[in-house]
Amino acid sequence: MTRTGTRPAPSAQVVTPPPARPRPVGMAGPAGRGRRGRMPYLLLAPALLVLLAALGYPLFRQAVMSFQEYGLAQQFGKPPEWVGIDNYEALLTDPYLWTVVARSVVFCLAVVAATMVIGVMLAVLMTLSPKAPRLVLQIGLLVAWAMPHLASLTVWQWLFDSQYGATGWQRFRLITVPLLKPVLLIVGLLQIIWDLKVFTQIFVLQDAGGITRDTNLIGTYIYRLGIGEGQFGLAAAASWR
Amino acid sequence: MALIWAFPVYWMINSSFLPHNRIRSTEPTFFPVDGGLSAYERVFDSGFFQSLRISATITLVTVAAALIFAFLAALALSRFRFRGRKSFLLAVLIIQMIPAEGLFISQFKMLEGWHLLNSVIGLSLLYVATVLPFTIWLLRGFVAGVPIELEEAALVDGCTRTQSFFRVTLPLLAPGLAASGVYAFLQAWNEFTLALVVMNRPGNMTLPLWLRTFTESNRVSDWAGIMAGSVLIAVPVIIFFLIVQRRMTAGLVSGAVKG
Repeated sequence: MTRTGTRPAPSAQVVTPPPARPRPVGMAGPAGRGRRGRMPYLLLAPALLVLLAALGYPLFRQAVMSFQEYGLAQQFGKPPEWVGIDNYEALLTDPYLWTVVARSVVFCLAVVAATMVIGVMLAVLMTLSPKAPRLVLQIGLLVAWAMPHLASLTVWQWLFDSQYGATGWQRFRLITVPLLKPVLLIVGLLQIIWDLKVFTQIFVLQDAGGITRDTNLIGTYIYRLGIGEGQFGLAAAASWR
Repeated sequence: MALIWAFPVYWMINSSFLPHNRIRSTEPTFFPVDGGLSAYERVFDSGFFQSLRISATITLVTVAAALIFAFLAALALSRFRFRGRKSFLLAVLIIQMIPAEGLFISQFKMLEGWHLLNSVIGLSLLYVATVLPFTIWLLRGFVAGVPIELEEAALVDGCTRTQSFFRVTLPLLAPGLAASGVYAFLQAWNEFTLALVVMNRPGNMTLPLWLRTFTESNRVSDWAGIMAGSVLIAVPVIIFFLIVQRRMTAGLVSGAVKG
């Protein structure tokens, strides 16, 4: 849909080049300002409420917990003890944490690079193939539970489905990439975040007989600390770092 | 490339028709020659429909709530300038960095306190919150991509602000809404970990949890049953996707700006 953003408006704007990136068009103009002052907040309110209730509040509890001794005894009703920064101290002085962090960063960079390259390649492939194979590709993608990528790939595919005259590499480089830039940037950024949190795959593969200590990334490390060893305080501290 | 994706899918469908001894045999069976529907019968007899109902409700609630909330938020973020806009965007991004594994302990305790454990509302709430950050960012891009001039043109032509929004802007946003919908749908439909934490009563399983019962009920794993169950879980996803996909193409063609 970014396509529409770069088209000149139907007004007399033909000479000026369209903005490279869709940028928020404010309800600029002094007239709207006062009356609409509350409007954006009203629009934001539902999303904000849900986020605060389901993520913000647990996050707050998590933060509190990271300064407490919160183990198995506390699970059964013993009031948690305040231990100050002990949890953080224990974590930060443990050289294993830094191994895990370094491994996570390397893993993340490799995976982000690979997913971005392959993702773009696949999106191109999907636009080039005729309808039947494309359908097979799509259904295959879906059934493979390619969850986060799916949304972005779908968008890309729709974006690619344009009717421009140019073809080939030129079209890709000159039109597709600039148009996709905002999407690519967001997806890239989110990809980094998601990959840093990768959990399920590693966890399941570890169960298949890997050496846990050598393959823990941040996500699984937190889980093993919290659930595996009952050290919720420590785990909370690790997730804050 | 298509083969790499399609083959496991074919294999899944194929296996779902095979009798038990054929699946475990070392000789691969490529076609369900002497297969049958017995696996599907077992699946239907073991509580599939109950889980289907729970999963369908949760998915519906999640998709609807996530779309509406994210859309309103995206509207605020891209059409208005207001205090706290930047920090909200940043906060939404940062939220995604929180490892879910660390958070679900407190999420569990929170839902426990609100008596929302084992409830559709409780799990949906967590799902909506999970998909909101991404959908807000995604939709924000889409809303910003629709030039305000289009709306203004509609205003000049005599539409009210509401009309211009529903007739001009909304159809152009359809692809973005569909992408967000697909994302929310898949999250709610397939999610496993949170469901495992929140839905801890046997009668309350979502489909992914229910699928697990085929491997753990003190007997030999029923692979044909798992495959049949997977096929049944995948089918609604494919149907949903195909519907949305067609809608979207139509939405694009009927939009005000033709490419």
